[in-house]
Amino acid sequence: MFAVIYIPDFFLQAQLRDPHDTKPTALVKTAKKSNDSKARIMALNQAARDLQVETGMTAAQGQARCGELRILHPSEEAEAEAQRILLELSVSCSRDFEETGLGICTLDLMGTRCGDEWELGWKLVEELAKTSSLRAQIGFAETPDLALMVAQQADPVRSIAGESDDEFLQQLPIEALNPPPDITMVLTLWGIHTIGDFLALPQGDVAERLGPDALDLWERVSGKKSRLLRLVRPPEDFSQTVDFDHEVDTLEPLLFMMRRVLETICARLAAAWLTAGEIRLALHFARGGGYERAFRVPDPTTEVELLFRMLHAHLEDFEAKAPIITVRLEALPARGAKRQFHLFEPGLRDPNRFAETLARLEGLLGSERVGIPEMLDCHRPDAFRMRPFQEAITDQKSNAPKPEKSFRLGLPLRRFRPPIFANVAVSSTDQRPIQISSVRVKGAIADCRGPWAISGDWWAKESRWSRKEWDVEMAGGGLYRLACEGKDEWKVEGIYG
Amino acid sequence: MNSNREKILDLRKMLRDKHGSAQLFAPTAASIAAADMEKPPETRLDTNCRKALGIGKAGIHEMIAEPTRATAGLACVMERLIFENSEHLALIDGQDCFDPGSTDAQFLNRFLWVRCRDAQDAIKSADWLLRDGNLPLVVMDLQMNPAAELRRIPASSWYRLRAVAEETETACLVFSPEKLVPAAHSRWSLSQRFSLSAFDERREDIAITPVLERARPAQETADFLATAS
Repeated sequence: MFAVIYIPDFFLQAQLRDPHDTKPTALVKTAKKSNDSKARIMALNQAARDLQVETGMTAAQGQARCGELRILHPSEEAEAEAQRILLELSVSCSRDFEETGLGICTLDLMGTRCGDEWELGWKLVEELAKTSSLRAQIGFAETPDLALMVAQQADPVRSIAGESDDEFLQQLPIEALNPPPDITMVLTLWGIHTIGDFLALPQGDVAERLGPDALDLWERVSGKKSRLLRLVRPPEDFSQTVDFDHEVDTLEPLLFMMRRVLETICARLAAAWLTAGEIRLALHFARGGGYERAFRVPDPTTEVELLFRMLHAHLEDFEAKAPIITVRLEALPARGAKRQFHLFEPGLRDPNRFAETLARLEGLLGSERVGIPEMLDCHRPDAFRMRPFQEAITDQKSNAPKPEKSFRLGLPLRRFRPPIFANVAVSSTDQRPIQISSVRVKGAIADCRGPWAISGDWWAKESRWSRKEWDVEMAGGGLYRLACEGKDEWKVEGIYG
Repeated sequence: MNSNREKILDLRKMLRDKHGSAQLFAPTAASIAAADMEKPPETRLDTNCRKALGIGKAGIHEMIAEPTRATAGLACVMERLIFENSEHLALIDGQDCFDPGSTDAQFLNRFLWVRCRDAQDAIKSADWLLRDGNLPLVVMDLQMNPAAELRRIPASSWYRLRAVAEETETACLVFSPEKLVPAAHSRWSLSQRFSLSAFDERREDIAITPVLERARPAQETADFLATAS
């Protein structure tokens, strides 16, 4: 058995939600407010009908009939909200339902304990009117198409299930079938004005004289053809929130609860043939505030142990500002990774394990100390940023060429971070450094090259900088880079080697 | 005596049967002394750096270079290792002294840089990366760390790292300012001295000639066999 919840004049009802609003109102077809006068009226409330305003009139004609006529335009937000209310009501009645159209839902009542359909119908009508001021019509029949026809004619509840369908359908006008115009014209010429007259025609002759479309109509209205519903399944939610009975200030109870939550989430993912591509952790503290972190899973999986280790590695070095009262875990679903391994370039053996190792390293040292360095586009010395290793690996193209040999000159530099302040004596004749005294480096300078003057950010008063660099060779051995900023501020930048 | 000799022969036969093609080193005290007296071989790292250094196999290898001497050290060796291999490698920087500006950008994309604050962090990081086993080569730069800090690392830590590296088939190359790794499969030293004229040469033309100081199996095996005979 099927039931249809039908909201007549849905577009108008979606906006007129106030039951005490009795002002005559019309909904026009176009949303262009500048062209109201020529817009056609597509829906009216009862107050406007009482004042002889009709659908199909232009707005100007309607207002000529009724000077107080309020003109409304379609509102997507209101329609979406009304449709959402309709879908929620449908979910509460039956697990299997179809969103047939805007303002129309078809429910499959087989297997549900709905009781008497008349009681159910009235209950639905009252609920919609009470909670959302929507006027609904409910129809019950053995097929979805018949139920829709019944709902459209119901006042407000009608059931033909169990009765002879012909008895009710005999009197319905042929327009209730919504036939194509050409078939309507032919049937009208033949003097067939009701569905009963149409059903009286032999099936074979209908197919022969009017074509397959008419045959389809005949079979649907006679109940001999029932279509399958396109069932609506609510979106799966792969998240869970846990409120602790008491404040949690140690790691063990938090981890215990997180493991249980992960098991539940992974089971739901597995049931939906999905894997976890990202895990989002949210913690709420007792005295306000919270912490959120997203963990990308390099190789999407539903293995609880693996996902748990990833969270555990991060939380081992995490310090909460206050005791934790709520924890929320959410998994963003993903399909299994589809990638082609390169023939001559082996990829990571176990990407998930590597992600866990990276998480441990970041927990120990900080995320800004683990990754791939990328030089910034400026001349400032030692200007670089750290890119996450996984992100850099993913960005590399599969056909990246093998690195070519370096064409750099000289020896690489080993930097002192931060640079070491030094007292440097310079020659009085050519201002070249001749002696260094610092914590790390002391002694006479045997030879030097430079200076190389570099500067940057000259356009910004706060961040402009300039310096002179020297490469020096110590008498006792060792090649160093010296930098002089300002008048006499010397630093040892690093050692070559 | 004869029973001991028979025991050794049985042991060797058993090991040969079990491990098949693996070489069985049994240096005697005399051969060890002879090896120490010989001039250690020099190796020029022009091509196939990894093979030349013998770090194709899993385990720990050590390269010693006193930091104040102008030695073509870590970055040059790393560039050559990256150039020869298509796989990624990791650099555990014990004192956060690596300069990305000294290296070509094309090489930067191929290694994971772990910037440690001290030797303790470096040992922990090495332990995790070696256990992970995803990166075939891990380079540990402890050259700039204070000697006192490095001497506090117990020898057992190095043996543990070696065991982990062998288990996961990962090679680990340690740069240190002095002999530090008792469990190293091989030990090289870099003691070249450069002057400012080195800045006029192309980096790939700079000759890097580490000297092999040690390449023998664990002393434990040798000791056992020596006492057994």
